[in-house]
Amino acid sequence: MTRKRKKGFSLVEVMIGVAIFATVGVAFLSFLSQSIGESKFSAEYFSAFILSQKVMEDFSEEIAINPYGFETLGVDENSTQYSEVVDGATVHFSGLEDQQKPYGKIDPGADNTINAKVVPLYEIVKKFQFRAQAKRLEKTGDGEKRNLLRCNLEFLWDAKIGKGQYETSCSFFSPVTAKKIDLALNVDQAAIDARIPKDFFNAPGKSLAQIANERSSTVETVTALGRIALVTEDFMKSQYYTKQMKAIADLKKKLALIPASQFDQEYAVRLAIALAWYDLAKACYQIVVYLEPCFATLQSQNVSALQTGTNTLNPIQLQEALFHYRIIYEYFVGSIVQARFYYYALIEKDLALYKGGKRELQVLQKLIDLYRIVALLASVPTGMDQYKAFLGRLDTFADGRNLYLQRMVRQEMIYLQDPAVWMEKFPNLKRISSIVKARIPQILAFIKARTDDAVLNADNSY
Amino acid sequence: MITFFQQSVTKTSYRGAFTLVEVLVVMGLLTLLAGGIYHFFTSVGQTQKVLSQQLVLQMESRKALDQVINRIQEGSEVVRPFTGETQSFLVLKDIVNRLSMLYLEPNNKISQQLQKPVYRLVAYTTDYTGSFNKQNQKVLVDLVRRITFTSLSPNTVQINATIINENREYQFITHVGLMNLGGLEQ
Repeated sequence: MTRKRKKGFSLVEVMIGVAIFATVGVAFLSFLSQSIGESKFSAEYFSAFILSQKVMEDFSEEIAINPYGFETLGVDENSTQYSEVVDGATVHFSGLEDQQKPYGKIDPGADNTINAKVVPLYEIVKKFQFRAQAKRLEKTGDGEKRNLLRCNLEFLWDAKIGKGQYETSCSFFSPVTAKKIDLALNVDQAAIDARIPKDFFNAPGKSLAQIANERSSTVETVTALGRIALVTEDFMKSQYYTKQMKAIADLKKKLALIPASQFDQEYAVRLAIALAWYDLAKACYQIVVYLEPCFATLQSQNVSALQTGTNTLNPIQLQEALFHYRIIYEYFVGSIVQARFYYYALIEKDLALYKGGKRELQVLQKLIDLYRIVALLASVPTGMDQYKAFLGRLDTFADGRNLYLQRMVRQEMIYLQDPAVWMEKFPNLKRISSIVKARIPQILAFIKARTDDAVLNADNSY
Repeated sequence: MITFFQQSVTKTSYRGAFTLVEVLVVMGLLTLLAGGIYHFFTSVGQTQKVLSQQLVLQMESRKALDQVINRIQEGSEVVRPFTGETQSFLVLKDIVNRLSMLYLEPNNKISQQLQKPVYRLVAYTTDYTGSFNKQNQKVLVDLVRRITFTSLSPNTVQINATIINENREYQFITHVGLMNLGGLEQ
C-alpha cells in the first residue's frame, strides 16, 4: 500500500501543479496580449501622426490664403465637436482624388471620401475621430501676438490598451492687424514749413505768425494751407512723377510692339506697367493721407479770411493749391484702377498657363486687394458691385480646383453682407476707408466751396 | 486463501490502472487541450507575425513618406497635375527653374514574387544639358502598390499612397506644402 501511494500525486499536489501552470500560463498570455496590444497601439499612433500631418498642412494652406481660415472652417478655442475621419464627415478627408467626371474638377462630396471601398485605408482609420481648436494669442488690439494663432489637434480612437489619444499643436501666422506705417516719414515737414512764407505767401523773411496776423488768421491755418500748396506742387513737379508717367508711356509703347506669341515678354511688360501704376497710386495715397489733417484744420478755421485784409492771397494761387490736392487724389484713383486693369490682364488664359498656377494665384490675391480698395472709393460708385462680381467669377474659377480659395471667397461674400463686419475684419481697409470714403467727399466738397468763393470774391473785387 | 485472493483481487481492482474508457476519455481531453493550445499559440504567433509585418511596413512607409515629402518640398510650384486634377505622376518646378518628375516604374522582380503589380517611385530632375542623365535619377520608394498626386492648390500636393510588403498593404494620405517663395514681386 505504501508503494502504491508513492506512484501517484495527491489532490493537493495536482492542484498546486495546476495552479503553478495556470499562473505561468496566464502570465505568458498576459505578456503576449500586452505585446500584441503594444504593437497595435504603435500602429494606431503612427496612423494618427500621419493623419495629423495632413490636417496641419490643410490648415497651413487655408491660413496662407485666408487670414480667417480657422473661422471659415468653424474652428475656434471652444470647438468641442469631434469629427470622424471617414465617410466625408470633414473637409480635411474629402476630395482626396479626382475620380469622377468631369475630370479636372474635384467634388468634395463625390470624389473619394474615405469610404468602405477605399481599402486598406478605411480599415486603418475608421476608428479615428479628431478635434481641432485654435485661438489667437491676443484676442483684441493690434499687438503682434494677435497675428499668431495656436492650433491644437487631438485624435482619439478606441485603443485596446493605453489611451487612444494623439495630440499635437502648431503656431500659424495670420495677419489681421493694421500694418504699422508712418506716412509722414516720407515728408520733411520742417523744410516744407520753412519754405511756406517765401514760396507760398511771397513774404520772405516773415514768420508764419506774422503772416497769420496780417491775414487775421491763425498759424495753424496758414501752415496747413502752405503745406497743402507746397507738398502738392512739389509732387506734381517732382522727378518721380515725371519719370513714372514717362516709364508707363514707354512701357505701353513697348507692349504694343510685342508679338502675341511672346508670352514671356508680354507678361513681363504687363506686370511692369501694373507695378508702375501701383507704385504711383501708393505715392499719391501717401500725399492724400498726409495732407488730410491740414484740410481738417482749414475746415475748422475761417479760411476765407485769407482773402481779406491788406495782404490777400491770390485767389488763383489758393485755387491751384486746393486743386492740386484734388488732382493727386484723382491720380490715386486712376492709378489703382489702371493697376487693377493690368494685373487683371496677367490672368488672361494664355499668360496664366505660361506662368503657372502659383503666379496666377498670387495675381488673384493681389487683385482681391485692389478690388477691395476700389470698392471703398466714393468716386467709383460701382466699385463694390465690381468687387462682388469679381468674387462671383473667382468662386466659379476655384470650384473644384482650389477649395481653399473657394472657401475664402465665400467667407468674404458673407462678410460683405454687413460692411461694418467687413471693415472690422480688415483694419487696413478700415483705415483706407476712413480717408477715402469718410473724409475725401468732405474735402472735395470743401475744395469746391472754397475755390468757388475765391473766384467769386476775386470777381467782386475787380 | 480464497478470501485472501478475493481481498487481493478486490484491492487490486480499486488501486489498479485506468479502464480503457477512462484512458480514452483522458486521451480525448488531452488531445482537445493540446489542439486548443496548439491553435492558440499558432494564432498568437500568426497575430504577432502580422503585427510585426505591419510595423515593419509602417516603418518602411514612414521612410518612403519622408523621402517623398523631402523631394516635393524642394519644389516651389506644382506644374502637373493641374489644380483639381489627380495623376499618378507629379511634375514640380524648383527654385532655380529645374523640373522634377516623380513617376512610377514597374518593379518586375517583386511583382513576380507577389503575383500582383508593384512599382518603384522614381524621381528625376532635369538639368540644363537637355539630355538624360542617369545621375539625376533616384528611386524614392521600392514597393509601391499605388500612388496618386492630387493638386488642390499650386502650393501643395495631396498624396494617396499604398505601400506593399509581403502581401500586406499600408495606405496613407498626406498633404505636402511646397517651398514658400513669398508673394508676387511688387
